Amino acid sequence: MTAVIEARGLTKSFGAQRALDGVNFTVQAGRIVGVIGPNGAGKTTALKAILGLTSFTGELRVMGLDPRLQRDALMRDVCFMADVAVLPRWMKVSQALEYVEGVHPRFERSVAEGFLKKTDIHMSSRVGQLSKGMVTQLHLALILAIDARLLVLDEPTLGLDLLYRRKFYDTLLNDYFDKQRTIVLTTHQVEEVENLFTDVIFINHGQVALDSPVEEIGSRYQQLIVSAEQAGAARSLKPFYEHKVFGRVAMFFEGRSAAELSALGELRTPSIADLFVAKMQRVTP
Amino acid sequence: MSTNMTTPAGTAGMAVPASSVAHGGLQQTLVTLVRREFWEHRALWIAPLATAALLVVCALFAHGNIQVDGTDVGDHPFSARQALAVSTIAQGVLWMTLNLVMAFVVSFYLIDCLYAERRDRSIYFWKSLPVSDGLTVASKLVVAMVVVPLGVWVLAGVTHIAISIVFAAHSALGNLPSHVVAWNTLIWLRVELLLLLGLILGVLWNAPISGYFLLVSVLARRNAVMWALGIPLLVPLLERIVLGTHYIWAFMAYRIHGIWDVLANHGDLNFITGQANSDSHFNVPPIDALLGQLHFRAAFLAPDLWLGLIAAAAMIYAATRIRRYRDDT
Repeated sequence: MTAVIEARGLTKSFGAQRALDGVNFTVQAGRIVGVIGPNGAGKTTALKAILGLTSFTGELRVMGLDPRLQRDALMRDVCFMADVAVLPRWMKVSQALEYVEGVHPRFERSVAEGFLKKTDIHMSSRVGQLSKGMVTQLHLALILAIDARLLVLDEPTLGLDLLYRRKFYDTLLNDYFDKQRTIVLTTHQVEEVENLFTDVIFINHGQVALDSPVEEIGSRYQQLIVSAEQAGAARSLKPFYEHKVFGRVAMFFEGRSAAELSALGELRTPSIADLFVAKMQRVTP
Repeated sequence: MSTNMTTPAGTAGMAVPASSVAHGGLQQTLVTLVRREFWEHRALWIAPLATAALLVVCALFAHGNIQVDGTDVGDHPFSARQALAVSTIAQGVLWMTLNLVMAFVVSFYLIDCLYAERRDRSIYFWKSLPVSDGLTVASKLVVAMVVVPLGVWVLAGVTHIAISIVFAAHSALGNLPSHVVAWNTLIWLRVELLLLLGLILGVLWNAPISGYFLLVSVLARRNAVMWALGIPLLVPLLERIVLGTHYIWAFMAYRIHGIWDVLANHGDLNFITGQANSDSHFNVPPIDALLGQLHFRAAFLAPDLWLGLIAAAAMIYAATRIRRYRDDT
């Protein structure tokens, strides 16, 4: 496997505040990585560093390039969607296609047109006349038509209704993603997309709180549901987080064997959303 | 995730772009960028076109008595040279009118172009595509300093021809005495050429102002127009109040008209009066003699023109660098 992104000691300060504090992570080719964290945790700053949109200290290689110095070359292979609604309101749909075709050597116009035909978007419409969901569809159409190696999405479905969100991720997974491509995605709506990820990175207070392939989560983290009577015994195994569920207690463990836990109660693999809450609660007492 | 160490060479290999045979490279990118400016800033072409159309319409409906020296123009003994001078003056006035419109729309364009993209956050879209900051800023300068000025030059010429045709038609229909309508293609071309030279001179002389507008555009967090126009008004005022002097104001005034003084050899021109000794005030020397009085060589070689260009280059470079990490959304 090749590393698409390698960050070592990635640091970015805004005045006295550290948005990123010596972050290390590696993203391999052909993965779909969810970068998850509360607001202000440093997710967007990390993505901006990857895209060469912000200055930083530390080491960062994206496709082997330094985003600070080789941003223009990098953008031929990297595509990103910063947020919904960054397409300019004055632009016509046809102009958007014409523009990207004119500046991007790897844009296949027919792909974008084919995708747009399946939507209610007209070529003569201006972006300002489209709904938020349609603007995202248009942006997605442009991205699908670009043969990029790395796609970076920062809250791409924020503020969209469920149908648009579902369609967005279905298209991404079915029409876009293949083993040659890598997707890095931040989102708040963890539950909805957790099946999409192959890897997750939790970021909190500018630091990586968790970095794991999804298939390894089950062997590294355990969620144990115990009755109130068993809680004391379970606590002696040092859960890093616990909360009450219908009179019982859900506890989260790291690196315990199934054998020692299953005797005490019901053992599960935590969902990414539950694990996220557990991890965030621990580091923010 | 595992920390899979790869050699830089191995990862760098991925960055080599795939075949881009279908893409026309830098030239196609620049053409696309320039077209995009006209999509967004429609005033750039609508305002000059609308002005030109309005002038032609005015010429169509022109009527009434033109009086020269208190006598009706039809009864006035008009010489061919005088009629030609009127036509050339019309050519110049048209040109000035369209240039004024252009100065207005291009100024607002430059103030807005790097500010609007941050205001509507579309900068994240532009920056998601392989277009460098240098090329982006260059495309805006090409629009403001090449495409629009040349377009307006062509438009002014076409408009003058159109208006001349309209007046010829007026004359043919008897609305206008025939001896006041004159046309000389050679002189028309010479004047057009001089206007083009003047245009190039003006664009170069005003380059520092363009650079300043771009710099304000990339720096302003809000209200770019207020900053762009407020600073040149408030700073001289402050100097006046605090120091009682007006050096900055004088400097700014010089940076606006200075080159035209050089071109006109510091007012030593003899445009209208000529060697007037006849009974009419409306006496003109031959056009050729007048145009020969312009000092283009001196103007293009003026050190202040080149110092201004250096200052403009510095400001444009700064704007490009600042756009790289300008991030306030």
